[in-house]
Amino acid sequence: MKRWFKSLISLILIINAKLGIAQMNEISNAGLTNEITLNAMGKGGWWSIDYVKRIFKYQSLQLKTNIGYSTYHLMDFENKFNPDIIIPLGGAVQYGKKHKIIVEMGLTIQRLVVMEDIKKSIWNQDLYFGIQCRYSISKTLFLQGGLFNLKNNQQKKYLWPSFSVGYRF
Amino acid sequence: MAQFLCRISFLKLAIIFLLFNSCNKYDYNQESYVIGHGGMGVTSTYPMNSLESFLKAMHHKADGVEIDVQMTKDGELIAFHDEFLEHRSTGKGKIEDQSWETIQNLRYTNYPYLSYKIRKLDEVLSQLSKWQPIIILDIKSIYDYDEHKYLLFKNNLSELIIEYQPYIQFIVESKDALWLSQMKEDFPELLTLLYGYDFYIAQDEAVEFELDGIALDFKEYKSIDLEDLESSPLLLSAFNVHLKSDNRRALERSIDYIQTEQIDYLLKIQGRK
Repeated sequence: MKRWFKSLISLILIINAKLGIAQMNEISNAGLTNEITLNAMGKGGWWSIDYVKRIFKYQSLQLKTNIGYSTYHLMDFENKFNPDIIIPLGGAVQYGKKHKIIVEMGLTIQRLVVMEDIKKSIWNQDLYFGIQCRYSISKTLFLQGGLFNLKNNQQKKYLWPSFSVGYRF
Repeated sequence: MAQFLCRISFLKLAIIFLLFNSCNKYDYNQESYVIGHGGMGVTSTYPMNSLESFLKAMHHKADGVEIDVQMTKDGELIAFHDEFLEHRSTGKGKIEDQSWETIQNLRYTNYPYLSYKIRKLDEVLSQLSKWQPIIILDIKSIYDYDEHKYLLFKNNLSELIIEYQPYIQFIVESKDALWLSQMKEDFPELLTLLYGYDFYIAQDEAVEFELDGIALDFKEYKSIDLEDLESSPLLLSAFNVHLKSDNRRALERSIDYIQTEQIDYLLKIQGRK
């Protein structure tokens, strides 16, 4: 049998074995209703850390709420500690057993430091909407990736990717 | 055997230590001016030419900043890089086709959520003047202007130079050598830099028009003999100095005005931070 064909068969078997393990992990994850996710890009802009709470579960369907934190600048343009604050706040519908699809929607509340005649903070709020896929690594760890549609208060739309790693507890 | 291995490891560490230390011995040119490119540069989360970016650069102890200057339909001079608003802001169309009333409501859009305004040049100069900085005004697009717009631009810019010259060392940069020489006649203390693409062609043209210097993309300077750079009668300004290695090389090549993305690093290797 040709080497490339053997390699392909081996790869398929490995992937299926991993998926099998993921499925077994999902059965024992029923009691884990809390999550912490660390996100690169996504609804926080460049990054965010989110706490997610499951509030409802029926078979493969779950409803969740989340609150997060992000910032762009810890030091403002005068080099003083004065972070911009971005708080994503919203909910999600998750569906799936082995691989999950997650539809998220919510609001980001921002406190930004800008210069007018003097330095001041302004408050904004914007909507976000996103779709992500989740892959479980183990009982407690998962990877997630997707796209968000971010709409800022100036009506500019961003199609923004998201990559996350999360921990369930 | 163990002793032998120990000695080898010690020797390796000693060699690494010596090599590492020898990297920092170069005496970099401290006479080069550190100019923030559009403020904090292209890669900053503060948009280029935003007031916040300029202020950040000055608080980082830059000698000055480079500002891209354009004129609106109603004669206001603003700080903005691109010809078309949609490349960096919530607006649409050319700057020169919009009034200030429209532009003042626009925001930069480089990242989600951030909300920085497009500013009048007057406002920027007013905020920066307290540092008594060097300001390089990179004049965009005047060679496309008809006579009326040309005069309007020249008059409005001249008014600002007169107002802020006691506090700011102005340098004007443009592709239009004739316009630069006219500005030099009106303002003898003003430094003029000819924006060019080829070192030798730009040098010859600048000398012909009796300008003070030339401004080139840094990659153009990299290919020029050091001797030619050092013997040039003109001031040399470089933009697009992005990488740390580029900044080091700009100092080695005695570039007078380094329009940098790495203000802190450049000041550090000059021993000024």
